Amino acid sequence: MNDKKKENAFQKFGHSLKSLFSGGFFGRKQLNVLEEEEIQSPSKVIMKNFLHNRLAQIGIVGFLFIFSFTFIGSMFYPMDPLYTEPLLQDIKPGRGYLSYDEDLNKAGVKDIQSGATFTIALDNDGKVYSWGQNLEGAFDIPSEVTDETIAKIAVGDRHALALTKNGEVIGWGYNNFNQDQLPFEVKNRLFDQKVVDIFAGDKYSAVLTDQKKLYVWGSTMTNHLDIVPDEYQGHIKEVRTSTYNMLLLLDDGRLVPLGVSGSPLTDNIPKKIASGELKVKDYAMSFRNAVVLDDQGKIHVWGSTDNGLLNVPKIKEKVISVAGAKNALYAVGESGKVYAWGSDALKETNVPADAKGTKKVYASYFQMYAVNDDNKVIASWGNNGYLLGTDGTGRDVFIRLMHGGKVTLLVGVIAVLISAFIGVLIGMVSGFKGGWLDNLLMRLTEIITSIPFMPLVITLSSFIGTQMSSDNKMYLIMVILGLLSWPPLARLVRSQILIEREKDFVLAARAMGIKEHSIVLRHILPNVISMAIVDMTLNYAIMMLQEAALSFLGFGVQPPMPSWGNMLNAAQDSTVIQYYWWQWILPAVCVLIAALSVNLIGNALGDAIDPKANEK
Amino acid sequence: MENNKDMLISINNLKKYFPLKKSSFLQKEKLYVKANDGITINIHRGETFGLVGESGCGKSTMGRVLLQLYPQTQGNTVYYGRTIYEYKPAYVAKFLKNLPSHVSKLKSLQEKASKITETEDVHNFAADDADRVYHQLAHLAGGLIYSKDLSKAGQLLYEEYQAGCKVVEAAANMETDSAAKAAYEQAVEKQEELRRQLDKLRSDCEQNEAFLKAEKLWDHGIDLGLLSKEELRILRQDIQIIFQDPYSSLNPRLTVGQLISEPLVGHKKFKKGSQELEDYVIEIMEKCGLDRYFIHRYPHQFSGGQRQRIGIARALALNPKFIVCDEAVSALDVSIQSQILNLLQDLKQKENLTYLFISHDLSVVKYISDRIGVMYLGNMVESAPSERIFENPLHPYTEALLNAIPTTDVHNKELQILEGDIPSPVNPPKGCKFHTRCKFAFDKCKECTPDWVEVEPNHFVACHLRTK
Amino acid sequence: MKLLEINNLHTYFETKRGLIKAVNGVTLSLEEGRTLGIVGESGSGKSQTAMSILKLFEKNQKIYEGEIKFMGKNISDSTAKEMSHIRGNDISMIFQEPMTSLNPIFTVNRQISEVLRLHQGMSKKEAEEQSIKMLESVKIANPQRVNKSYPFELSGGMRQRVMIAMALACKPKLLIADEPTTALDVTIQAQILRLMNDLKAETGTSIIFITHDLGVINQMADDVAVMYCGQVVETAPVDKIFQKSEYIHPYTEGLLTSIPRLDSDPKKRLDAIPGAVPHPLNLPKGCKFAPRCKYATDKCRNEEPELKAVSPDHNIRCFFPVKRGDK
Repeated sequence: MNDKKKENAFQKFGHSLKSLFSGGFFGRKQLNVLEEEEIQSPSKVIMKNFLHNRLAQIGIVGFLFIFSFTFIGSMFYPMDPLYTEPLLQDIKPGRGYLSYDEDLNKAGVKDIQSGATFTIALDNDGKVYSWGQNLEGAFDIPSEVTDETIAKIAVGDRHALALTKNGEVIGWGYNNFNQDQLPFEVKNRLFDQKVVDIFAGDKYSAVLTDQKKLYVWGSTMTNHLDIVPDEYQGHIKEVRTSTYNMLLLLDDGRLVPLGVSGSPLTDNIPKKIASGELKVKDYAMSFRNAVVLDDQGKIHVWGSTDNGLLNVPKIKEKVISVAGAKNALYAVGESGKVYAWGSDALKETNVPADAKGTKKVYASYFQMYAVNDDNKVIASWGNNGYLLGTDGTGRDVFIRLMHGGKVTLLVGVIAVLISAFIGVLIGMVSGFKGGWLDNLLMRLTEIITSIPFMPLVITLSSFIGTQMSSDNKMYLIMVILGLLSWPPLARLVRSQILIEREKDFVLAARAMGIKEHSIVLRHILPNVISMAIVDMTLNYAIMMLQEAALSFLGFGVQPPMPSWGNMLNAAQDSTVIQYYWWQWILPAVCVLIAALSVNLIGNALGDAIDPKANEK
Repeated sequence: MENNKDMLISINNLKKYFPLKKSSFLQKEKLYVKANDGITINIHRGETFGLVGESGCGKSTMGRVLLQLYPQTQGNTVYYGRTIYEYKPAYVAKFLKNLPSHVSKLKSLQEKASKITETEDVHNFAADDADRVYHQLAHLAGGLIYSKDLSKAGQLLYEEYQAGCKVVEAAANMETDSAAKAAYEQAVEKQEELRRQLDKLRSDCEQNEAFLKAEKLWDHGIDLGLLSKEELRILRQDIQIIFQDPYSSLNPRLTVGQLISEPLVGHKKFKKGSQELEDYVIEIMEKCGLDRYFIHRYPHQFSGGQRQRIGIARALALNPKFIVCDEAVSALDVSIQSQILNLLQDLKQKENLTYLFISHDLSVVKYISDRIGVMYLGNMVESAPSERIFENPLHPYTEALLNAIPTTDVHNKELQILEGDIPSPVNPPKGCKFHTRCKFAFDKCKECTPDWVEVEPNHFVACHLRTK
Repeated sequence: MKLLEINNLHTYFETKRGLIKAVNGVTLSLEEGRTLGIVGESGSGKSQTAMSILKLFEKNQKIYEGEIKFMGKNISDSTAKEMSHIRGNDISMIFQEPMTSLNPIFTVNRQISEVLRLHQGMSKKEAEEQSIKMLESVKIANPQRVNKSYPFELSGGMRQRVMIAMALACKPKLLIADEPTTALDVTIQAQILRLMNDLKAETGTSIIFITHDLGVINQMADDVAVMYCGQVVETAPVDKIFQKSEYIHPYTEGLLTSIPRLDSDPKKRLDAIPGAVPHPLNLPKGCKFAPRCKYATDKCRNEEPELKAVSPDHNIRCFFPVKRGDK
């Protein structure tokens, strides 16, 4: 009916309505509850009932939350599934790693060094500051240090050292290798020497004495850093540390490596530098790379090709200083511009715009600070922390929750669609055709239902799945879930068709001489489909839980591809359950919210389309 | 054929058995619910035929089987609202072209039937089949089924049928084109000529009783049981039904407008969404006492009475000739019942309708019907003009039924009690099915099924008391 | 003596869309040993009045106002425990659909015995004997067999007899029958009506008989109450309703003239009451019947009439009761 007519009909409708209510029939002028329902179609009533249902509202909000968290969130937070960072394992939720203490700027920065999640700074007055997240007590600066005037600080990944004006070395933090205490043998050697500088790396510490001798202790079993060749002892001028190596600048201008040899870092040192031909003005190390600044203001980089650390950006000016974090290197130009290259996984190269006029960059591990001519911190960047902590391999739980959720929700959707397709198809064929075909199909559904679900899925998954990539395995799980879960839906559709077919209005339509196919389309299917949709919704929640259960048992989506289920896998470890709650409670809560929301929506939909519920 | 002119529906030996699932593997014979067990009635044009009976007597089933909503198990339902010349159902040509083979099939069936002696335990299904085929053929060929030259008779009848179709076509053309009058006359001439030939063929036949009986059946009605699905679907615009339950018989997802226009669109009377359609729907609605602004509303927004009006409007929309009112007012409140009854009466007069009015309520049936049939356990026990049933009920069941109705007459409060329960239609009593409750029952009633006899003009009864 | 008196009873349903006044000021009384027939269409509140007497309420339903005096004692605010003692013992009820009110998984014996053992404290054996006796009293031909049957094995009429036997098991003072014959065929209905009349004559139990069928009322009732929209619009002895009285309520008149009867003239158009029963959430102001009443005036549409006596035992809720013979 065309628009004009519709309007007319509406006007007429309005008039009649008015006359109906203003006349003697229903009393005068009172609008009432019935009126608003007058023009509503059943589907609108269903929608209204659904949306007015408190539980449905909760369900919708919950699902929208989960949906936007996973799908929209994961667009903004990309994830590299293969990324790991051993140094950042099992970090508690918390942020503000970069929120430096403004008081530091009063006296001017003398030194800033970061551990894995925390930063310790020293100002020109010899006062020590700290911020970030406490890791293994690295934050608990002993009172001796706060009371004394400190000359130098050194920070390892989880411990720190301070050198007092009196040459006393005080350490604190993680001490699994006693790296926080000067060991007895080192102390012995120091009876006639004075400590002039201190260093700290991954679970090791080192001191440099006034006799230019270096003593290293702590975790040195694998990196052999405690073996300092005699030819170097007594000539060591400067030291830079990294996990497996140190680079020593000797007083003859040579730059020599220490520790594990045979890496591009130790073997590829440019000859000019190794021979001392080139004058080293400043140098810095990352995990397996090094950068050297010569007296011409030029930089030289070598080491591994990881993280693009050899791809130095074009620098058209003289460099005045260099710095190295764990996976990134920095150079500061004359103009005060900071050049950064290397990994950006923790935003290490994401130098903020206010880092202009930088004189020096303090970089270690994952937090970077730019300091200007006045020795004031002007900018900080790098890893600001983890909202929801990290997992056992140092991956951000927050990001993995998003991406894992995407996988879990998607697996559920695809599995439901597969099962709905098969279920509706078989149910419809069974319901409409009847006869031997119906008999055959119903026996088939019975066979499928009597297959023990979990054992079969586990067997299938481990037999077929072993030769598959993690991605393919995910699809495999979708298909397996879909192929095994259609019988209830098929039965529902079939019985619903049988019920609808016997309804009086179908007989009435037949008596009117309506064509059979339009009876099916207009009179039978709408009710069947709405029931099927409700069932699919509820099924969806079950599918998500199935995926989670499978992945939890290790037969579902395979790591490193995250899913809520395989994130929960972590909870199979009692230490994780005991200490690292964020690694298993959070995915569990996500699964709970998602499944609950979907169930609420499904139940509310079911209530809404139930005509009996409508009458109340 | 002339005496059938006022007939609209003719039902012969109509049976509907619903098979029951076997209750155990040991059960040998298949059990049936015998909802209709051999009903023969004629319904005339413009009359209201009332059908009364208690629940389970098969009255609703009969209404539906008559409309072929359930396939009939046995018997013939012939519709005279259109002739075969107008409707050209496919079965006519098929039967006439192969008349000899059909007649021989009939003969073999009759032979088979004659061999079986019907007892109470052995039902003579072959006799039913033979009777059905006999009627199918007799309606098409009349006495010529006894002709010596069957192939010639078939050929001639087929030609006559085609000529008749031409006459109908020519007559239709004439309405639009007056020049077609010559063609029409020519066609009529041709048909007459063929009929003369047929008459000659008839005169060759033996003029015995069987011939005359078959000849009497030669008419041009449409046997509904022989129509194809699609033919039946199209014919449904002529024969409609109003259901008992106005709640379940309207699809809750469609608006009133959609409900009424659906059959109109389905039968291509109007284009979907056209202005004419909407105007027509509104016209029909107003005819049935529904305001035009209801058109966009859904059934759940109406009361029972109004819903029943929607059901009536929908049935009426296709301009049917015949409507089965299946307990059309039983589900309604007392004060609404009378409104709907009045509406049905008015529409009948205005639209020249014929009703089959099915109800358990004798007072309502009496009010609305011209003739009444009383059913008991799948059988018609009495049929007569409305007032005769009440003045002179001949069957003890009719009498009992009349006396069991509580009246508002303060002086005559005593109800006659009919003792006992209605027997199960799966295992009905032998002989007269009513004998278990009948106070006049005698030995014969327990053994023989009474015949359906015309005791007085238009007054039929099946009771041994009346045929002694 | 008055067995039951209902005064200004209001029973409402609380629904999402508003208050449904199912029983809206009902005043009735029942003498001992008599039958009170309540007639009305669906939604007139006749069943809800009965439910209110036994307080068989839905969750959202309760008595807002009014009192129900049973044998002189107000039972409208009785506790659930007191009510369960009254139910089945002093007052029993039978329903329209005997199949749904009998438990399908227990035998007839078990269901009747349960009542007897609960209220009369009979032993199992006594109860079984009594149960058979009760079935005999409702004229069931082979009570022993029926006693052992399950409800689905019985026909509709039989089930209703069993229901009556069960209801009368404890010799109640009052039997409420809510459309007990509506689902039955006329011939079976006649049997049940006869049975109830006979039983009443035997036991002297008072009956409240609810139906929409005026013919049935004529058979059963001594007094009649006509209900419309939750109110009693007319009460009178049965013969006054059907014949003798001078005045009549327009609704009762409509009911009488609109229904085709065996003795009415089939050629005459039915004198139908126009319109439909108003929606319970949307009751008209003034007289509830005014919108459908052909005699209605402005007064009817604005003011609500009271139930007034037109003769000593005849009350009508109408400003202008119709005078018989006027039409």
